[in-house]
Amino acid sequence: MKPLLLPLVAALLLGPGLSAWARESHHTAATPSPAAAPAPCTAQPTLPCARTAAPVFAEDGTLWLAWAQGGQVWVGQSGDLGRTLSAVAVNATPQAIDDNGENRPKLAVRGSTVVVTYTVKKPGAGYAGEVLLSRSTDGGASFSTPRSVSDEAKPVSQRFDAIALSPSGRLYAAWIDKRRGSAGYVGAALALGWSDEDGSGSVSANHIAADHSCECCRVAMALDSRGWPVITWRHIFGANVRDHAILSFVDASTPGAAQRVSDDDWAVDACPHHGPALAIGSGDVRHLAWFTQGKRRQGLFYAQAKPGEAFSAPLAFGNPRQAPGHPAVLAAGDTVVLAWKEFAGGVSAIQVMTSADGGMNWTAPMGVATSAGASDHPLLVRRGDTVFLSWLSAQEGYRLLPVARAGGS
Amino acid sequence: MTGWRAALAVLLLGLAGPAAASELRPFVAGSWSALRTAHAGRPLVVGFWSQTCLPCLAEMPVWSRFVRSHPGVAVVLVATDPLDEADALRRLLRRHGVEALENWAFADDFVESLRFEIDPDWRGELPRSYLIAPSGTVTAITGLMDEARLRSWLAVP
Repeated sequence: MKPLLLPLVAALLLGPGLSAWARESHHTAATPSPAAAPAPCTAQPTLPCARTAAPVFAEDGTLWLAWAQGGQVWVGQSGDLGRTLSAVAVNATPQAIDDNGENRPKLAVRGSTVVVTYTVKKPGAGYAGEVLLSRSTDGGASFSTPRSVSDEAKPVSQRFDAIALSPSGRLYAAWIDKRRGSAGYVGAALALGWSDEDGSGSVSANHIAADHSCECCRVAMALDSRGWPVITWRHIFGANVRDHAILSFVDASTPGAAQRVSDDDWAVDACPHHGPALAIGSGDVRHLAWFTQGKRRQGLFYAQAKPGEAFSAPLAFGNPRQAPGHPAVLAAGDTVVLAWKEFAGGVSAIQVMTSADGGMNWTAPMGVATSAGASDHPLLVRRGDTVFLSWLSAQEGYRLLPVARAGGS
Repeated sequence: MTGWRAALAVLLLGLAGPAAASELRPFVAGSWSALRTAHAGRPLVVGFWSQTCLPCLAEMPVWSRFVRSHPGVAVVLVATDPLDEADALRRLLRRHGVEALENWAFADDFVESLRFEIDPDWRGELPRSYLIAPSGTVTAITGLMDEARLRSWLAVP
């Protein structure tokens, strides 16, 4: 493992708008950390040189991060909330890794099992990719040779992977698949694969769960209280309406049918590059956040549904004059947290709002961080009762900022 | 990061000399204004595209036909892909016969800022096209360009 110092910026950048709680309980020492000035990017691994970072808190409170740099995926772990990281490379040989806010390397951790998926670009006439999966069974000390998640003899294209590791040890993977891309086929397909419960090996025979997905937006996955996955993605309804769909499993290895989330009526022959976010809270309530430019509504929206029920009326959030986008949602019991990015010239700002009653009532939006340059999409991650914003930006480096407290169950 | 990527952009994309076939100009802060100024006074069509966007690739034949039939209109293509994919972008431009157009590629990861200079209402959907009349009036279009729409815009710009 290569140790590296990760300068962590916290309290000083939280800004005056943050609640007294967050100001008082932030995790850094009283002495301010140095600003996360990017280290020379010729050195690897150097997290601030990456475009994106995927965070996971393990059950023991260890922070895990995955990022791409120099054609390699790096997996780092930190016992001190990111101040110091030890990182190992997943792929030995550099590859053309798809690495942007919509399609970053993914990470799942449970016990000593660590799973990484990432997309390698296959540029061509019809832009294509290959989703590769690597697994560590020794707590991230070493990783298996990455292998395709596709079960095709000659894989066509997989992109926009999402993964989750169930408590039983079963790995679930979802991705946008182009194997059915014959002439006249609209869009791509949502494909699924899962492993056995012993946590070894790759994923099973692939299952095409839904035809006609949008081709260019991230897929979101979360596990319900039974450890079964729920998946949401931008679908193509009819000829060209790019609204969202959701799918739940009916048992641990049987996906159910896709259902429409909302009728935004975004009919467009274009790639939005703007996928949804999903979290599951108490009562297995599905909490969704998404972006649309539909005829019926435009901007960012939140809605929720109990299992098998229809979604609530979409709630608009974000300042429509500040280009709100790229939402993240986190649920813990009845606490629901939304984070998103806004930009109106100058700096990008991450806004956060919180509900303590399962998404019925919300705090006012609160600006928690800004960046004066390129930045990743915001992500939310929880350790214990503290909800953190995880955000990587070019000028400010990696930030892990407490933004909310998760109450109750 | 921005600094070294911008430096790399200059190396990869090439800044020197007049527009030559397969030249990819680095699109950075200020490029939109410079581009519009350079073509002021005549009809200008700017198409934003990405190699990851299938409708954008489907649109390429529209551009190659349109420039042949309308030599008096300036057609400019801007790829929004990161600059380290310049080789793949050039291959695609050649394959679709549009490598001789004025071609640019995003050379700054701060895409929110680049888009904001172009149009605060553009949220990143592709393809995205701007039809700019000699008067300066701008028409924004999301999605696959329709040749009939281009022609009617020219008739009544």
